[in-house]
Amino acid sequence: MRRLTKYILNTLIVSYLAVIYFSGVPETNTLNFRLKDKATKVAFAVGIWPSWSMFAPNPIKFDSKSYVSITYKNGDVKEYDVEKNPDGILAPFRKARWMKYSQDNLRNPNQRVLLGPAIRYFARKYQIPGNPVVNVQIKRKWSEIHAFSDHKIPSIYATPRQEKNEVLITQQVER
Amino acid sequence: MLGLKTIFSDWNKFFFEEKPTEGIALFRIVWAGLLLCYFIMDLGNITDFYGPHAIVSHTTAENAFPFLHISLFKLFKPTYEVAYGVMVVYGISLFTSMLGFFTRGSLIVAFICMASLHQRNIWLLSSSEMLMRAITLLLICSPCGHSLSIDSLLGRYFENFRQKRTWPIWALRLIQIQISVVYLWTTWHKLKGETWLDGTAVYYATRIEGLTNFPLPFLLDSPLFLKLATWGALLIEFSLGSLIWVKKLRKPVILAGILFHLGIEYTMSIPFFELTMIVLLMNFFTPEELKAFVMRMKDWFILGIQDSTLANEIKEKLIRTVRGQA
Repeated sequence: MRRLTKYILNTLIVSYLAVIYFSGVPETNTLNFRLKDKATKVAFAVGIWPSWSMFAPNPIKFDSKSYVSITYKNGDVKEYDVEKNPDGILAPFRKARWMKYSQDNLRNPNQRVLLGPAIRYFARKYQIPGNPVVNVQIKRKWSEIHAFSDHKIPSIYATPRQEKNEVLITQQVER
Repeated sequence: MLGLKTIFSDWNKFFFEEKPTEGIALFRIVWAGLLLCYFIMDLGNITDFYGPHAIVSHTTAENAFPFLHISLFKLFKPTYEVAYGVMVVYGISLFTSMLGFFTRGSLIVAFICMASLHQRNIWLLSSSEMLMRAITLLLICSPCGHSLSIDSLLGRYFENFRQKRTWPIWALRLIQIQISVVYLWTTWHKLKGETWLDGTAVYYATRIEGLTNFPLPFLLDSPLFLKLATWGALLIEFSLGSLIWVKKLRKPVILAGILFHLGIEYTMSIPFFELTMIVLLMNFFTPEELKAFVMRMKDWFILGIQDSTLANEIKEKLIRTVRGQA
């Protein structure tokens, strides 16, 4: 290998390692903070930003599903699941992205920016000719997982949970 | 000075030792195949996620991600034609990457399309997508098309396609480091959570109804098992990020990792993630081990075709087994 090639490759290797290190570690000091900022920008630009928080620092302790409630001009109200629910053996793979969007993000208070576009999307999606949509409401139904007990574990299949409702957004559709 | 020399020499050996290309080529086939499956599963979502009237508008996506980034949707107008066009090009480039046809070019195109689709709606992404981007980028830097590819086949007839069958393995090392970082990162973050320390994390994770797969009632209802599974998961993830580099422990750790991911796959429905991690662990077998595996497969395949007696024997044995006469 030529000397120049090796020099370039070494620079590339060190840069890659620096980017994945500094974009991943927390900001513990000023140097770290400055480098993290730069490394994160590079990681975003190249498309390799780190996000490996699988069930970390804690798994969530609730089940959550998002629904959309559509009110039509004639007064009919229909409720739909936000997620697409395909059938068959490949269903979990086909609905994976919908689950991520609906269960992790749409209901998340930090992602309220998603609600406006979602309202417009559902108003279009569930439009019926001659009976326009007048109101769209997005809500989530959720239930807390029973607390862990060393003596008796509540079975996932047998123990009913109390379901709660939360309206995330209600909006009249402008026509 | 001697210490510094040793460090440089070890660094050189670690990153630039020449190894056979069959291993990384095998990984390319499996990896591109996995991405292709993921792509096929996403085909029904083009208008919902990537079109001009998608569930997240192009403007919202761009405003929420104000960093410089790779996106064909920025370059062209976010129309249906562009959304479908990106998907078609992505599918073709993944297929040609898998076959190893103009491999590097195909992988570059696949990476650009993948990054564009991911950036179009970052709220759909999970850890497996992050890994897909990082690993594909590193795969571009490797000579993964030099073996087991149409390119290498063309190399037999055309000078332009002729390539070396060994390579300095720096890109493979970065892939391995990236995988280790994932495991160490998640272990470190989990250690900050009280449920991982008190042994209840697996209980809560397996109680999320949206993520349940096949039932395991006896074990998942046992407090002792749940605690051991929680701490065991931490230990295995830590080992996969660290002990996997110790020569003697490498294979047991890989085996533990595969069983760990298969266990999660059985009990929990986290599409593609466990499969992705299992495929990635393949990179911790040495290039020589993977080459030997490829050679065995080749011999077995060629023997199977050439030796019709053997093929007939196997066929008859199978028929006898099915009829219960074995």
